[in-house]
Amino acid sequence: MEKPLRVLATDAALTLIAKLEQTHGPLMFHQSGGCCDGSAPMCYPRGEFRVGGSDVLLGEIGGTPFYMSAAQFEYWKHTQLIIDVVPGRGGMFSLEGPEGVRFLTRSRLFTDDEVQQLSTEGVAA
Amino acid sequence: MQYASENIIPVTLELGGKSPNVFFSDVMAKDDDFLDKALEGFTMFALNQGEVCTCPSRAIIHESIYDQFIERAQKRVEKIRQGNPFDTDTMIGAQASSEQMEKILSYIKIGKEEGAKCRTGGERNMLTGDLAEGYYMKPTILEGHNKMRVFQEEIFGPVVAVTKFKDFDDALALANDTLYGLGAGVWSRDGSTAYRFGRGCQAGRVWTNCYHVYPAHAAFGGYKQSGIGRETHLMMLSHYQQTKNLMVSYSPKALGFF
Repeated sequence: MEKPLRVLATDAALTLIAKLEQTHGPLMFHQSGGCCDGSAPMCYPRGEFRVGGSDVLLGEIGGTPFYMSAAQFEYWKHTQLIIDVVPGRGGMFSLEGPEGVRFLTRSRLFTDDEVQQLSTEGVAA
Repeated sequence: MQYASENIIPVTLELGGKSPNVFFSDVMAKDDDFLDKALEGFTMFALNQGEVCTCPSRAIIHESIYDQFIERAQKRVEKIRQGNPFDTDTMIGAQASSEQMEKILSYIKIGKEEGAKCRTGGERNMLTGDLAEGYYMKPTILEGHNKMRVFQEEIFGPVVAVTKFKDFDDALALANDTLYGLGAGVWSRDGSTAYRFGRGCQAGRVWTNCYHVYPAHAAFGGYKQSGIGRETHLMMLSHYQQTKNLMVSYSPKALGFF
């Protein structure tokens, strides 16, 4: 059985990522926590947002690395993230703002088998 | 903060929270004004549609009063009037944007998947007439345990996650088991319990037998991931000012070193 991915993207999200990459070059995602724009995946030009020892790399979507803070990951690690796009004003700092859409994180609980598989791997920081 | 650090500019930060609202068993000792106030205090999660950094989005209730309290609290929540913001009878309005509403709906979905029970609400509220396309969310009560994502993350909507506690230490542990520490509410007729809880709770603002009051000159700010610094108090001047020390010598003589 293939190891489950921690983060995936819908076709709409992949299309948006490709479009933003054309304009801004290589990108990155950081899953925000906290209020207002919180709990939304933030898209930045790669390297613009400093990640470090307290972040984990969940994987890649559309060739773009996706990070989350390690403390937050402790509460999220039993769920799979599916990055989607919805219409909206866009987060203030996230690159898709002017496009009239917003990235949105949907979640799915991992099955017991998937949890078992994932527990045998480390997650890159 | 990252950008400020590039130029060594100091910052204060307010980053939101998952503020606990804790109800000790003595709140139900009498059916009086205070109990009525406590029930309103529970319902404060819906203030401003939950779009407040200090939203009391977790309610932690003593197990001995849980069933009776939650039954009355739920009735109070179901009486919330939602509608046109210009109508003076309206208590809460619509969410700020469609993506906020989508995010809340997505949280309710994951909450249910994790096993939380939805006692009331849990869906969009379809109003009529020219409000029909409004981003209205029904005030929602989700029942579960403190490790669920809906208990740990800021949903930023009219959603409260409720759970029980066994004793004082358990209440404190549950209240503090969060990445955040902005606000908290404690409800008890016993001043000593309320005081000890407030001292032990890792939150910058502990509302005691009240919630969502912001008087001038009450220091406000967070512990842990809720941020840095305190505002609305004289102490904030120290964030915006420099302390200067003028070191003056009145001695006409050299020190003798060189």
